[in-house]
Amino acid sequence: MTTTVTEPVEDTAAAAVHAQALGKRYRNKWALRECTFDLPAGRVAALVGANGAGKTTLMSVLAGLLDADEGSAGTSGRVAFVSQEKPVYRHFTAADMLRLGAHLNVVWDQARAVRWLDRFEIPLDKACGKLSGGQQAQVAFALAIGSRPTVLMLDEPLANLDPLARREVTAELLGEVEETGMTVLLSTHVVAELGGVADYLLLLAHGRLLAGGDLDELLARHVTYLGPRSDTPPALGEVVEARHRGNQSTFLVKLPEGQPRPVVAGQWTERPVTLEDYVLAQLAATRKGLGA
Amino acid sequence: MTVTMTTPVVRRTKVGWGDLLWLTWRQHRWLLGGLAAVVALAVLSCLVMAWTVDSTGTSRHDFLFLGGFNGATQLVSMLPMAFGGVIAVFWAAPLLAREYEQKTNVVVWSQDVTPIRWLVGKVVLLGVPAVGLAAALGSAVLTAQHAINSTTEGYLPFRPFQAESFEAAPLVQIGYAAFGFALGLAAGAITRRVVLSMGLTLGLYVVVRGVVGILWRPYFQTPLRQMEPYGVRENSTMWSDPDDLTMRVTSGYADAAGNEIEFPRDCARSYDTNDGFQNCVRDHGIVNTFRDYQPADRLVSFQLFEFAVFGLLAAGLLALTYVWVRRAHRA
Repeated sequence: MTTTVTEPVEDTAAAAVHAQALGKRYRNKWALRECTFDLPAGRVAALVGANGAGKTTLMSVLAGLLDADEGSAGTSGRVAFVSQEKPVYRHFTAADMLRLGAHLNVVWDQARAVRWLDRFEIPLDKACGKLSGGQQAQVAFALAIGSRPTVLMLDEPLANLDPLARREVTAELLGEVEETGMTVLLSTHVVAELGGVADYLLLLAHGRLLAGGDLDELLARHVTYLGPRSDTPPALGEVVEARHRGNQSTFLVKLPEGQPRPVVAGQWTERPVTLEDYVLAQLAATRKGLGA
Repeated sequence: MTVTMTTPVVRRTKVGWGDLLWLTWRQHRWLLGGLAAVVALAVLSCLVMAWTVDSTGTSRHDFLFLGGFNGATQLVSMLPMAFGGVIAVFWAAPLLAREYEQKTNVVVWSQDVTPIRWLVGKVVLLGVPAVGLAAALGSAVLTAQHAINSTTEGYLPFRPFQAESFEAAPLVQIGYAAFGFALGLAAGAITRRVVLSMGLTLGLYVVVRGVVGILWRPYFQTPLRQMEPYGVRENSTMWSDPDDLTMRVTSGYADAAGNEIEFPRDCARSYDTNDGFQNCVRDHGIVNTFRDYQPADRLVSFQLFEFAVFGLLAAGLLALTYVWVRRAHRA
């Protein structure tokens, strides 16, 4: 028998979101298993994974909308959650949605919510059902921002926005983080969206946490080597991904901890790992691992 | 000079009833207002008719295009019989189902209200008006029925055990409305589909009301039996007493010892003489005829019992909804 406790984070003072051996199952299938991490306060964390990796489940559990089946989870304060569909009441105007926020939250920042809608030119007096999908998403964001959460969780926040709006939304979000000091956890399966936004990474595959941690540290511990065709990389380390094309080989290597960064020479060149390289390599590795 | 208006950040300790009231009114104002208007119109019609009848001593008045007062009262008497069903199908069934279907439950439950707090708010803030409207409608209709009865000689148009009268009693109406509300809510929680839950609610409501009202109600208490010799029907008061306000349950035939005898099928044919049928029946041992009935003084206890039945069903369904919504948190 496992007990699940949702409690405010106290022991790890700096953590805004905390999960300990978290598990959630739908009937007999585990959607989430042995998920342990501490997300420090004030960070923008990206929750990345393929479709069906358990991102929505993890967020729903953390947001308190679902109870976990094992382990425990906690957040350091009030959580606002915007689900993937970004639902709004179709007969409510945007102004009504903000009124809803004011009535149903113990903290409400009307000015901040209105500012968000102004910024994206959303009419306040139009029924949400008559707004476009992207505009409805902005109303949902404004509601979440206005409630002044300690932790803001966004499930696929940029999914139905046009490219320009994506850039603007991420910029505004970062601005809000800077002003309010809130912690943001956003999920996505489009890694390219994350460039310059996230500074923390949680990588999920098949319901398990593959990697988690400060993005810069994580990337600094990995390196890409390019060189002549070879079965092994030119330096020691754990091969995350190896690709061979023609007479060229590319290795993404996790460097051994506590050792100086190796220097390669000759025909080999070294390249820093980008977030996209890293995530795609990790996801590809789990897919191959599954097929074997 | 520019003036910048900044609204301060509002901080409170909790979300109160007033906040849930705002949400409920904003979401359901057309349903609430629409049904309240219909009920107000019906109540007003009933009271005007009752007052007119009482002051003129007759029900021979025209009521709009509905004909006389008797006809109008007959018509308005249908409303209490259907009211619980309207609450069930149109108020309660979509309440949770629509939230689930449009995924707005995620919006409202991820604010600073828990699903259960939200649910309790909705049940109280919509359930109480539903029950109140039902009681008001029932008592107004009863008032009109009494007024019409009071001017009628002989066989009364509205008899206490008749469904139109029995079911209009405010307490019974409250039971039906509460049951309908809880039934619709539970159906919505379980199906999570608006149309499906409305259909399911309608079907179950009609079935349960039918089973209780038609099959069970005559046997809430063991009926009394009145017996008399067969063939004296012409001068019997057992069958055609205009002041008889009892509920007829069943009737049949019995032998000399009073044992019930099934009607002899052989006798169901044509006879040459008038006595042929009666002789055939007597030849099969039938000496007595009887009727089972519920006496008029059981009316109030029957209505209390009916209220208790539907009240308990409502409580059970509300508990089911509570468990189901809690479980959805887990599933």
